[in-house]
Amino acid sequence: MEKVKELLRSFGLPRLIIAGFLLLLFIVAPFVEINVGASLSDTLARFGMNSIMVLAMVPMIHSGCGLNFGLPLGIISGLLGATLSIETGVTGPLSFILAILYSTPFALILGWGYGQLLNRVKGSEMMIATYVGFSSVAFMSIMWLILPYSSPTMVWGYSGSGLRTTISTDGFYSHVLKDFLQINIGTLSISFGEILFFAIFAFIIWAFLHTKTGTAMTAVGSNPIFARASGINVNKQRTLSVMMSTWLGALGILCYQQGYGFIQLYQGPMYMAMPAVSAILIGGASVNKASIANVIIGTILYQGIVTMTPSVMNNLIHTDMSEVLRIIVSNGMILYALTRKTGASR
Amino acid sequence: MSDNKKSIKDIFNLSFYVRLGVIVVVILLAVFLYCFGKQHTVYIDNRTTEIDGVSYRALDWAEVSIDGMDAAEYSPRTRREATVMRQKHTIHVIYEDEDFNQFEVEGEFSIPLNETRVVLSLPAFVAGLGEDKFITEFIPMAQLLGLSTGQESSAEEQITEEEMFGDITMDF
Amino acid sequence: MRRNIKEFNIREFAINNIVPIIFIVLCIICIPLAGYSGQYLVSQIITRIMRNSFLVLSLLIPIMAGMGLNFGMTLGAMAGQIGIIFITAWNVVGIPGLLLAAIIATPIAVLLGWFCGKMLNMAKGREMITSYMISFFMNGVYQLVVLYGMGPVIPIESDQVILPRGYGVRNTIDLINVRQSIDTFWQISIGGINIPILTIIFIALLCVVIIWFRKTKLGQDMRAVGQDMEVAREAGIKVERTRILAIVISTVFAAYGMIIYLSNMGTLNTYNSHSQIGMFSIAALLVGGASVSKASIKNVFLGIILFHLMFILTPQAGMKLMGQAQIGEYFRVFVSYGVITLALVLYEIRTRREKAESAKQLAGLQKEGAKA
Repeated sequence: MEKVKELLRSFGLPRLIIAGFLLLLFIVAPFVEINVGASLSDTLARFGMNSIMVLAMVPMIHSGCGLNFGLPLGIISGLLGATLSIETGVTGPLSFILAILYSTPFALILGWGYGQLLNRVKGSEMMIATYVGFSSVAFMSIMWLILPYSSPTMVWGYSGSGLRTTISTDGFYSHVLKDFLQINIGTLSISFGEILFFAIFAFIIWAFLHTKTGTAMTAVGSNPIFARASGINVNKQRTLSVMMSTWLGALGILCYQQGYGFIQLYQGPMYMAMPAVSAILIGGASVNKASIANVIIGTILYQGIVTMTPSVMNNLIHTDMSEVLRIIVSNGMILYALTRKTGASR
Repeated sequence: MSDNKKSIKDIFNLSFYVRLGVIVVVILLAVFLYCFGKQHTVYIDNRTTEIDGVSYRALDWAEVSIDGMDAAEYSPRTRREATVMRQKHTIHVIYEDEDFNQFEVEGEFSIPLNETRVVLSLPAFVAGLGEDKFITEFIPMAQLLGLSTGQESSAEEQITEEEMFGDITMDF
Repeated sequence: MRRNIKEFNIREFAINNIVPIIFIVLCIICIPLAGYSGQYLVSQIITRIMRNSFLVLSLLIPIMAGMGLNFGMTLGAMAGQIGIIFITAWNVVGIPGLLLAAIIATPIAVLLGWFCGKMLNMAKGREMITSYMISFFMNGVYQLVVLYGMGPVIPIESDQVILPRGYGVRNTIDLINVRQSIDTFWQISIGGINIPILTIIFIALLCVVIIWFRKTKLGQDMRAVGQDMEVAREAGIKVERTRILAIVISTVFAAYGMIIYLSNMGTLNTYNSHSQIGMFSIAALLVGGASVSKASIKNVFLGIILFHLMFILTPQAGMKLMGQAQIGEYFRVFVSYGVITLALVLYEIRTRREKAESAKQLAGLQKEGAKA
């Protein structure tokens, strides 16, 4: 009994409510004529699209930099990689690999700068991260208009300059991971390509956190004074974690684009950090503690709610309030995490 | 016992009454502002109408002014609108019958507080009917004829996610 | 030696006022590029001062209480908008309408401010990000109320306000009934520039209230709490209550500010008028040379003038320079975000340096003590 209570407490009340709510949705679904199989496949597809962006939260939380509200910076690197890859005209799965390769240097350079900045503002990283993300999105909005791209798939047709707001990845890397190793059982279709892709990176991060550098990073996060005393270069570890997060953010958006089929520029990346942040919090992470399990559970719960609520709501009361509910749930979750006494160190 | 008494006294002290008074004054002010500032649209209608089974013929010619504002001329089947504030209003009507005899009528009427738009029937007013008879609620033509009142346009006014977070290029 | 000190001061001055300096330079570059006439610029700036200073002034009190920039002022804006929605639906016009809107908005703003203050007390030390997330969270609640609640739950009947489907408020509401009713109530014209006296009186009144407020018991308490919470608590100040009050006052002022803003604009974008208000107001305040812990009325007005000069000039400058007004629009957004980032970073660096210095001094004192 004590153990159950302990388990419940470690699971946390909001998480329990959200998990219960999702369960309820799945129970109600068959009664309002919703195909559970299709909903499950939808949830899994969204999991595949979004999980890497959620994974991008882990390194920074580990090094004590807090929640990565500056994810848009990583997304920007991903967008640069994506557009450059399309600009070269390479098609098919190769363009995806190319996009990853192109975005990597941007992610590393931007991540390094971002890390240097965050090292100077220890204690209020999250606020500044948010605004670094926003500034970079606004700056890149100008750049998308000015940069000399010329590929006809991306440039506005009538003016011949400036990128479109949404660019189709059709013919390039649309669904490269989604269609890879896709298995259909009745209405349920699972694409193991995306899941495998996530699993590889999740494993790499997990393994990394167990290396010497990884444990040093965790030490910096849990007790920076102790870490410094034992000879760890705190700033270097933090910068490394920020670079990793930024790079994962870049990968995350590429993964998202291949599933979604479109590249969203301009204001698109503005608020993309919020769903990722709230997903990892729903998964059980706090401002200074996160694991791979949190990422997986959180993404499934979050994406499950995002896919299930609109269809159930629509069939139940003929009103789609899912978008509003999503805003309340995801931001409420972030708010909950920020006001917890336990996570008070940052 | 004495503790209890003290706490009640603490609650109902001077500052409590002051606060209560302020709240009451503010609520009264709100009610006053509502009555004072509410704008009503009066549609002055010169059409043959039928009220309680009696038919009142449209006036052949009339000149109407409300609250001493500029007068306007009315021929049969005319409808003009006047926007007014507050409830009580005066109306001044000069009209002619078939034989070109001029009559002058002056009267007062008050608009029900919650009505934003009302119809004032001139023939009914001139005939000396009661206020509740010559002033009626305004019902849009489309609704009267049972036409759809813009159901089809509801599809285009959908609120999307982008709108919920705002346009970053908005003016300030 | 003397020259040295002077040079040092200039450098220090430049670092302390880097944000206004950047803006002045930016505006000087943009003025010839945009090619607007002086009269146009002056009249635009005056309009915008009238429109926005109430909103920006509402940020001052939480800064005094050491709670940083109140990103939660969006909550006040929401309350103001709800007031405006009601009076438009009821067709109450002119200044009485705006007063009624303010009366309706006040209890909502107090409630929201109280909620925000409670939350911020649970997140001491990271008030800003928390208040920012509260504004996001409440945005969701606001959408729920306005988009689904108004009509069936909250009785509003008006074709002007409610969507044809029977519930939810329209995307844009024309505020023709109250448009500029404060501004045109009493207006004088100087050299072709209209100056709304009543609005000026309102703003001046708020300035006086803020100055007076600093000297009251509550104002003194807030400053004490802002200086050091623990010391204030030991002195018998109810820290939590004081902090909540600071946020409540700010939220209520923000609601009034939003009503003035909307009546000047003349249209309400129900779902996004409020969302960027907080960001722009904060940017304007920071441009005026305020920091996270220190802001004055002088900062507010300097900030609004500089920020709006940039706001007016950049689209036109972008048009002339690149042939696209959009570049200018994005540029001003980038500058607003960039200014906030820069100001936050500079503040953090300065605080850390000061902390390190005071620690050094303390260590030095202890050493001396040990010697003696």
